[in-house]
Order: sequence, then C-alpha cells, then structure tokens
Amino acid sequence: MSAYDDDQLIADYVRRLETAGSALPPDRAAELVEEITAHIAEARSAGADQVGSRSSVRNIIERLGDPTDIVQAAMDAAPNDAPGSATPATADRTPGSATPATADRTPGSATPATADRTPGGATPATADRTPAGSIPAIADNPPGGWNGRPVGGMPDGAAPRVGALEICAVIFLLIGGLIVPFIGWVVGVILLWVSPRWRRADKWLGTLVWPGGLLAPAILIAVGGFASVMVSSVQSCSSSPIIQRASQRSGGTVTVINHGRQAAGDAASCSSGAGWPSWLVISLAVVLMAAAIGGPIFTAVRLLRRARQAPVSASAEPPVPIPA
Amino acid sequence: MVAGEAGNLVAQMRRGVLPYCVLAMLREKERYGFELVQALGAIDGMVTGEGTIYPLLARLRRQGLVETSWRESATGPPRRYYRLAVAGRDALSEFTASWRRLRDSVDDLLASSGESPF
Repeated sequence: MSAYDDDQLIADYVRRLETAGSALPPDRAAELVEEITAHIAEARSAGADQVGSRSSVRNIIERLGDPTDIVQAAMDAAPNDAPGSATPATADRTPGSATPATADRTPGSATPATADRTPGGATPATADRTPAGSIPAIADNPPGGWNGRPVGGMPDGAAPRVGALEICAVIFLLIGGLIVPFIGWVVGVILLWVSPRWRRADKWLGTLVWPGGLLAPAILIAVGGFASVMVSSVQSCSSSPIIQRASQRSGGTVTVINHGRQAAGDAASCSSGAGWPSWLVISLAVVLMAAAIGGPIFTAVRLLRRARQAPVSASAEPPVPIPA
Repeated sequence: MVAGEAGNLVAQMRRGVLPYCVLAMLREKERYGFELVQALGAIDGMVTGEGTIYPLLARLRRQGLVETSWRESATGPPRRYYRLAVAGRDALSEFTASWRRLRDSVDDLLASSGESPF
C-alpha cells in the first residue's frame, strides 16, 4: 500500500465525515473533522515504527468507525442543535418490536441511537424512561449546569428483601447482650458496621442507642430490683442496726445510707427508705426504663426499615449530575 | 422480557457510564484526546467506534466537567489536553458512590440463593 493510497483512504474518510457532518451546526462539524483528522495523524505517527504498518491507516479508520455513527453520537450529544434529532428518549419510544437485539445495526454499539432502535422490552426501556434513570440518555444540558436528577435505583419499585446479615445484626444488637452478656451485643455491632445496607448515620444510631441493646434495661431492672429490696430491708429504720450504728457514729444527725442514695435527716424521714419522695423515684425509674427499653427497640425498627429501602434511595441521595 | 435483550440493556448501560469512565481516566492526570481514545478503545466492548468518543469529549467540555488546553507536540499537530474540572470531580465521585451501591445490589441479587424471612 503506497503512501498515496493511504492519503486517499484518509481523504475519502474525511469526505464522508464532512458529508455526514452537514447535519450538525457548522462549528461542531468543523471541530469534529479537525479532531478526527488530528487523531488519524497522531495514530499514523504512533504506528509509523510498527512492523506491518502498511495497512495501519486502514486499521485506524476501521477503529474510528463509521462516520455516520460518529455524527450520530455528536447529534445525540447536542439534541438541541441538530434538527429532528430529539433526545434519545424519542428513539427509545419506538415501540418494542419483536426483533431481537441482534437486529441492531451495530450490535453492542455504544453509540447512542443505534442501540435504541430496538428497545426490546420492559427492562431497558424502563431504565430509559424512569425520570431518575436517565443514565443512558445523552441529552445536552443547559449551559453551565447539569441535570440534577438523582440516579435511579433499580428500575422498578420492587422492594428489596432485607438481607440475612441485616436481620442478624439487629437481633444481636437487641438481645445478643442478654444471651451472651455484652459480647453478643458486640457481635451485633460488628454485623451492623459490616453491612452495606445502612448509611453511616444509621450505623452510629445503632451503636449508641443504647450500648448493650436490651441488656441495659435488663441490668437496670436487676439493679432496681436489688435496690428496692435493700430499701425495704431498711424500711423499719428505727430498729435497724445499720441506722443505729450510723446515728451513733455521726452523733445527732442520722444519715441513712440506702444503697447509693444518701439523705440527711432525722429518723422520722427514713420510713420512705430514701431522701427522695417515692413518687419521684418511681416516675424517674419508669422514665428511665422506658428510655432504656424503647431506645433499642426504636433503633431496631428503624434499622430494619432502612435496610428494607431500596439500596440506592433516590430521594435520599444527593443528586448525581447527569452529564450524559 | 425476551432473551437476547440483555445485550441491548448492556449496550445502553455502557453508553450511560461512558462519560464517567472518561472522567475517571482523567482523575490522576490530564490526558490528550488521542490517548483517551486509545485507552478506551482498548477496553473490550467499551465502544464500537473510537471516533464516537470525540463528540463525548466535546460534550463534557461544553458542560464544564472537563477543561482543555492546547499544547504543542513535537511529533505532530498541537494536542488538546483534557483535565477534570471541579464539577467533573464532583460528578465522578457521586457517580462512583452510586455505581458501587448499584453494582453491589445487583451482585447480591444475582448471587443470592435463599429467601430471607423479610
């Protein structure tokens, strides 16, 4: 193949490109032709020292592809400019014919329009039509901005199953601490953080509310039960040896020590078993228990709900720009 | 769905992710057009015609995701070098996160063999 033939090939190719490019605005067409020409030149010099470069120009042109495909790609990139070429969604709406995918002009092509000629059914078309799933759409965007629509998740609304990992994590978080004290809860925490289904904020929630899961209220109940036993045992404080000893030691002031709670006062006040009014103690205990039990349960429910959501939650994600 | 349509879907997906692949290739350093086209063309199945990448590059440029500059080349015509703009970097990182989630979810669904009670 002589150099003349090579140049001839290139000239033919460029001419075809220019002809196809007449469908584009002139500046775009000129830019495209310039870039392709530069590409060919670059490729030639890059391959000049390769053995068997005699057919390399043909090779280069072949790899570049059909000029009409290139121009089509340019049109899809700028649908506003080229007349009659709307957004690729138009091409997508051609009714799903029965022709199989192989009927595509260029099978497996990445050029926008040709692959759309036979949309071929629900799944690919849905991926194009869902407003959020506009990844394949190559619509040009207003200057200076991009399409802020979030990336869609799975094409349809089928609720994903909550995984086994997630269920185990929640179970361990909640009652693992009861089964194997503390370690069971730690296992839950590990599973929680390993799972990909929860966002970081959810994972922190699961860890901090509350540590120990339902073990914490269980402990509180035990402590509280123990405390109330202790309280009742010193209820009749006038005959209690503990109180008498305390009164002897501290002289006139009787200090009733009641399992961590201290109250200063005379013997008459010790019938309640504590320096605090019992209604206050009881309501505090109730509130504490409600929080201690409700916290982990609320967390567990929330985690399960979150895990059940679509993994790519379109509404929660920050919008992904679609330069396509 | 008919068997054989998977190829169509994959083609559309390739088309969709291609801009982000270009952005990813510019993440570490700037590259000139020919270099990008060669690299992308070398990846199996990415594009049918290398020439179609040039309109894509032009679009990324128009949308402000990449910036270009011309440099003289010793071996030929001046080269157009592409680099990521700030907007492009943001777009790329957001896409990466979304893609990974999608990819993992699809992988899970394709691989999972059992039904969970939920």
